[in-house]
Amino acid sequence: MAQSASVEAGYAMTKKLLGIDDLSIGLPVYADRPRAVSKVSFSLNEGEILCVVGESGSGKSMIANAIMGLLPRELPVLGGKIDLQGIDLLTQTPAQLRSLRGSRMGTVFQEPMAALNPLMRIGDQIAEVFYVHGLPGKPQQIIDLLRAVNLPDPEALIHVYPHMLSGGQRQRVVIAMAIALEPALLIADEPTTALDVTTQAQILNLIREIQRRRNSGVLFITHDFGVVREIADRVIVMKDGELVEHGTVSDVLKRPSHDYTKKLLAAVPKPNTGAPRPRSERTILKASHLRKTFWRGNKEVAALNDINLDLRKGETIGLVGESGSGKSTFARTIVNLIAPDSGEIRFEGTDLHSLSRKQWKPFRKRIQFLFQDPFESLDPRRSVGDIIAAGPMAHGASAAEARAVAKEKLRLVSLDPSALDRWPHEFSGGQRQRIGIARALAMNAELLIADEPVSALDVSVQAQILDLLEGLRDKLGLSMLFITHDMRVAAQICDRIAVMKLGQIVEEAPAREILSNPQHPYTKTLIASVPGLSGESANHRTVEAL
Amino acid sequence: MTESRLHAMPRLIGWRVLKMALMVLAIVVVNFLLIHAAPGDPASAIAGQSGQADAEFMRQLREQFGLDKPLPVQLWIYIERVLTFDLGVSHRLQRPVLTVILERLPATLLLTGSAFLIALSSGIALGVRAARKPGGIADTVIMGVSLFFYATPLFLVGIVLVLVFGVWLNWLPTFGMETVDVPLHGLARVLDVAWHAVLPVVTLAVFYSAVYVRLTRASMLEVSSYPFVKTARAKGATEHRVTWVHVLRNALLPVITLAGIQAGHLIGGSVLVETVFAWPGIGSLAFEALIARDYDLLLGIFLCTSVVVLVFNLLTDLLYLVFDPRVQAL
Repeated sequence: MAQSASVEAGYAMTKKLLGIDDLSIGLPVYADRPRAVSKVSFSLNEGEILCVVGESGSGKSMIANAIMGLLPRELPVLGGKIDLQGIDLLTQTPAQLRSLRGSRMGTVFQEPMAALNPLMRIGDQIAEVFYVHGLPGKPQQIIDLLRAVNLPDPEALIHVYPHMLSGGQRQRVVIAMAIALEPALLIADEPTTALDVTTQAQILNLIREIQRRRNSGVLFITHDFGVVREIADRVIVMKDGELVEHGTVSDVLKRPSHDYTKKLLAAVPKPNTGAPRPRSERTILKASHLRKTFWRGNKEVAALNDINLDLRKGETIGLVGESGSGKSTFARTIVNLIAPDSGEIRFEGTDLHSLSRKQWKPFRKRIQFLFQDPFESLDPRRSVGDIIAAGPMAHGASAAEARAVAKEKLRLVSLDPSALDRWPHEFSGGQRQRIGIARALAMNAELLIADEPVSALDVSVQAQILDLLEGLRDKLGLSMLFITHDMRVAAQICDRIAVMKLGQIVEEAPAREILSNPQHPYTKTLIASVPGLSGESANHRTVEAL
Repeated sequence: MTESRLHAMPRLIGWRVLKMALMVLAIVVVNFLLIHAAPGDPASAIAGQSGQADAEFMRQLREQFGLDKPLPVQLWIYIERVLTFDLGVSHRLQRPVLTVILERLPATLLLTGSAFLIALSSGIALGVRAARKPGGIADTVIMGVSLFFYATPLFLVGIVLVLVFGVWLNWLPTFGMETVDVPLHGLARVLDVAWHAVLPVVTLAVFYSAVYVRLTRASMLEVSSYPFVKTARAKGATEHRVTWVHVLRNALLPVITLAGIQAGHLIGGSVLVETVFAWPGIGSLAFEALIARDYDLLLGIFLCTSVVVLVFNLLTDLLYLVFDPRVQAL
């Protein structure tokens, strides 16, 4: 308590930067609620990082758009006040707002891969910030900016086009543009969501470093409580356009007052602390010395470099790695979508890649795939019943039998059987992923390969799907290869974790061993990078582990 | 990296030209077979015109044109000649095919080239304007008019223009490329030709323009939703700059693709317009050659138009290489 009192006193001394008062933003008439944002008030001080947390559709990004004056036409500001350093933003003309953007407020967005104009050189894009504000923008200033965001070889970089940079490098360029004119307010809208976890840790460090160096205020929008713990001074929690909780990071994380905040915090995946499940003697899937090389131009890329894995009956192995580590290539190799260069994969003793098309067919039933994107992996022009029944019918079931199976599986994933005659677009992301699971189970699969099945879902939905998968696994004795980039998710659901890097499994061990005592340096980096898992907040060393 | 990409250009072009040469050869063969698969031949056409069609005369004619030889032999002879740039002689005009084509080419290029440039520039400008406020008045009008011209057959537009501006209003010439009864020189002649070109060029341009308007508008709207456009606005760029520097440059990529394809058809695509306006170009030449079964001339025109298509394909790809840094190879 003493801690938080002194923190409050500290705020009183610093200057208020941004004040939002009773802000309401409308929605089109056909939307599911009348307002995108409803009577939200909060303030941000100089030198402070305020996190806005919420799930998709909570209206958190709309607040950022309203501050910048970039709300879409269909979403008008209905009322309230936005005050930036004494300027009433909502009464500014478009031209006045334009001159404030970039100079008083800089912005970093979520999609680093698409946030830069692909036809413009990096140097020109940064110089544009100076140019549009009538400033010269000397080459040396641009080089200094690139250096300030820790990009290597800035002299060469200014001549480079965006597609030659990685996602993390592009996000650094976007940050360089955002801070070019030293704005007092930096708005960061999910700036690390699309990045690998080690890159995310670097970008979070960079934002914090810049914020401290310049004493700027940061409005940081995120859905991830791990990130909140890493970076926030204060937190507001949004739900359905309303502000439901507001407080210092330690208060909100340790003593959440609103039920919704409690629910969100409880949904954050946590390492499984129950008794470890016994490991079966029976191997269901065994990969030995698997290799696959791709050619990218003249460059040889080893997607799989001597992969060995032993998955036992009823076991869940998590395959954890960053993008490009070869996780998905491995998954696709198992189901014969990619032929390996050498090595073998045995399913219950049968070498899968020596099989003919016809011999493969029974195995297709036994090995099923669960995809990442619940919105793209279901055919929008077929009813849910048809989607689920397609598998059994391809394997000889009659239409009536297949429909009965589909009905049963829907019940299994806790969906109402009336879903059979409805269409994928009528369902939410979480419900669609349930349909995806029902589809995979319609064939009575023994091995489920789940490729990032919860990455596209909000944290509360993610928790439900993980619970469902866990329940089904125990009930049906499923074996699972669970591919994820998120160590927290793997720690919750997996018996064992295999860490992949550059086509190799660098470490494989029971989940709790990996977490408590990682051996390989890369595993250590990976675990250290997981936001919020380290147990202490960078800004508030007193906060305990969740 | 960018520099090395452009340094590799001569080698890339060399490869492409070699591939194009092989392609031309294949086209020559296909054209030849295609034309011989059509019923009738020059002998029957000539005999029909002259009115004395006894079997002996036909045999003589066929022997004279080499039409009595087996088809593969005829093909071989033709290829040999094409390889030495001898496109044969038009039996109807009694002049070398190459000379005739080169004579008619400038008229067609003048017509189609100016129509193409007008269509492209007006199409892009109107497309950008329409995309500024989708559903607005300007958008509705531009899209309505462009749909009208896109859906109306080219020759009908031509005939209506002739009726309105030539016959009723009597503002513009509707026939030929220049005034024949009074010989003109220098600037007077240039203006005369330009005056004659107005109607055929407009007829051709409105059709092509309609396509560019629609494509540019769709592409602008798509690119406007990309995150980098929001980045530009967040920098404080003006709407004018956002539209012309960020959105349009990216939106032009598909337009370039289509323009490249259409540029390839500049020579072959104006048959109807040239016929309606009696424009002395390649198009009307092809039409006459077809009626007269003038094989050598027809094959010459085919070859010429195919080469133009290939050349413009290459130019489009080169333009892409310069324009889009992400493109690595031809």
